[in-house]
Amino acid sequence: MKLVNSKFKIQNSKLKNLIYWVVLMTLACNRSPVGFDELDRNLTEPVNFELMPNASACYEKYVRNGISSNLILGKNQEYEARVLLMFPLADSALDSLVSVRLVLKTRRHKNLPFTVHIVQQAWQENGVTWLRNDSLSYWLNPGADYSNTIIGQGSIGTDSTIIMLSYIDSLVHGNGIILLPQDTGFAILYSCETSNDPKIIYKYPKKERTFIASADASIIDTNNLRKERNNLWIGAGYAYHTYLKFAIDTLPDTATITDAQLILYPNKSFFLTDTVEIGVHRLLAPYQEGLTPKFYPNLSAKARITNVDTLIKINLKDLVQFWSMHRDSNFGFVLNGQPEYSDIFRIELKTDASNYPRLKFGYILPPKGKF
Amino acid sequence: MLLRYLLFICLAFSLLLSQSFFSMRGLGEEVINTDATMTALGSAVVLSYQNPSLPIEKEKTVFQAGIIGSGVLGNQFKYHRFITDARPNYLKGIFVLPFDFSFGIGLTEKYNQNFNVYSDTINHPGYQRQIVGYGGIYCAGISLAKSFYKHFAIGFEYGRYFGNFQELWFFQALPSFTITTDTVTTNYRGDNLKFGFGASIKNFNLGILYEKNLPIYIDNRVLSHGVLIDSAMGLKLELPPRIGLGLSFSPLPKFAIILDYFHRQSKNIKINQNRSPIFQNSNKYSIGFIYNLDDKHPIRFGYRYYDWYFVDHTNKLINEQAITLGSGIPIPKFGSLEFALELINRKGSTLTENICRLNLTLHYEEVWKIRKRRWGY
Repeated sequence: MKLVNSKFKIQNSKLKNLIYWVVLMTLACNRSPVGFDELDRNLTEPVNFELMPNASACYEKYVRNGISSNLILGKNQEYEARVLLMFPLADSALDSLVSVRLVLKTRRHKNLPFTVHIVQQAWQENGVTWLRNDSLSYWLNPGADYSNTIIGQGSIGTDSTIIMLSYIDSLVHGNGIILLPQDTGFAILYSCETSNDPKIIYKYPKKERTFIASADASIIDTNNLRKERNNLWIGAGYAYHTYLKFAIDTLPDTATITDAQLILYPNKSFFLTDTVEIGVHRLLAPYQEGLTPKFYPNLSAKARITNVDTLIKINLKDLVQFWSMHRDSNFGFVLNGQPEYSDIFRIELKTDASNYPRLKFGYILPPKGKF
Repeated sequence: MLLRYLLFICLAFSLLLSQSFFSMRGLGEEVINTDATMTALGSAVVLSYQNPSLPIEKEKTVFQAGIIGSGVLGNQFKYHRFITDARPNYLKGIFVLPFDFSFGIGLTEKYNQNFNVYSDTINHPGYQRQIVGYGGIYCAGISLAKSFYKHFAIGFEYGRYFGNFQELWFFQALPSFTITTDTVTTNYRGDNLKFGFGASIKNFNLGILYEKNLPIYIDNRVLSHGVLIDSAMGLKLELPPRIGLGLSFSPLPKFAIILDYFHRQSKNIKINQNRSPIFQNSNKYSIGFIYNLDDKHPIRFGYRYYDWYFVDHTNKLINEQAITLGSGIPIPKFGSLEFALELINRKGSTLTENICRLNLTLHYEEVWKIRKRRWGY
């Protein structure tokens, strides 16, 4: 009985200790305003502001998609995407070949028919676009120079696609192949930047030899997509950049930005995937119509968006604070896709007066000195 | 059990930070205590080593080091908040010189400016400010004292004020808790002179202390995002003198009564020749009792009433009452560990603080013995 009592006492004492410390710590951690009245200085209330941009523009450009892990193939009424592939094929023992297969792995399936053609002009993965075959020169025909001869055809399979190729001599001595979509819809294939890289397999009577793609790229263009002068679009694949500038020069020099949100109202969107990301890059020099602006490579802010969003909010607190402290650096910013080489999407922003992009922000002024 | 609790509290305090909610005003909380011995006697300042003439008999080298830890429960309207603090506050060394002289050095905390407050979110919804202050004003002093006939002593101390104070202003936009900060820094420098007198006749001890403050110069800076946006340098703070009187009497061999008082005409505090209405005259009254169980185990207790040197935000003079108690634990061949516990009730108009403060002083004491040469060994 004594033992039980002593155990109970020990437990009771531990419980008391626990309650004591919980109460002590709770009181220590609370954020009640005890004593704040004793502050002997006047405090300014936060000031909230809403600014409309004093300059805006939108420009478009072809994107070098070669470094992407995606190969986009397809078309619709607004876009067309073709795929260029280059293989380091051997030109020996071609006579004994039984067959040559092109193997593509599917990332996003669409039962899309396509044809394979031989590219007639050399191209570079990191410079190729719809218009250019590398960073210095242009295709003779926009969308790549290729032979009309079809060396293979098929449809994109659920997991992988295998196409039998012909005209092997031309294939070996050509500048790679191009896949052309033959119907509407978009499929996404794995590029050679992934472990599921495209392959060409030589089949001999007793063995097979595999060649992995040494370069690949999607080249993307728009069809019948007409951007009006006052449109503000953000897009990837074929890039649309929206430029905005807000006159924050009216802020007091010593303001501390407490909150800053860029508010955008999407009107119409085209997405290949469920969500996309857009980023904010601050400009390094004043925006000039017709010239591609230079912007700071690091993102100032970004936001993930779904295709059902009716309102986009991007936190620009740090950027506005930066401009508040470096007034002569406020050249505005551009909104673009993140990344813009890996996907096709387009967000068209509302531009009527009540839904125009705006910057909502608040600031406080610093305290006075103690004496 | 009590000691265990106290040690736990002291440990908890050292992990957290903050002090009086009133410390935001003026120069902050005036630290009137030094060593735990005199703190336990109701903060008997004039009969402590703050009086440069003491001890009267210049026979012992004395060294003291003190820390304080406190927990403050603030109550205002329906709100409560508990803040804590632990810090060293005191160092003192007294060295015996020939011809009944002594030389002292010391470092004391004069004003404490630690605080941590949050703004109201009901009348100002959507955001909350937090202001955290830390720092204070310290005084490093050197003193010289002379004893006469082992019953009287006079002493003089020169002190150099120095200090740094920082206020961190946090702004939190609710509920996203976006935090921004501004900083207000204040540096202090100045000089201080102290004159002390002590007398010990039979069962009576008397102490008189006069503290003359030379101007304190203040440099004030406001930094926003690390950039200096405002400054006021070399502000001149004139702090009026403090006058104190202490008396102790032993009616019985093991028992003594200590009375202590000081006054400062704080209304006359001027900053750049201007008086501020927040400053009021400051008075402290205390009474303490010692009962010696034996030579090594004294029991001390006391009471003090103290009017602060400034008013609160409604112009009510802040005052505090404290019950103090303490004792000492002898440390063989060294000295003792003195401790004092203060239970303080501090009041403004709407804000009340209940404080539990523990003072610990490590007291080293040595008797200098003159070795007499003996022939034969």
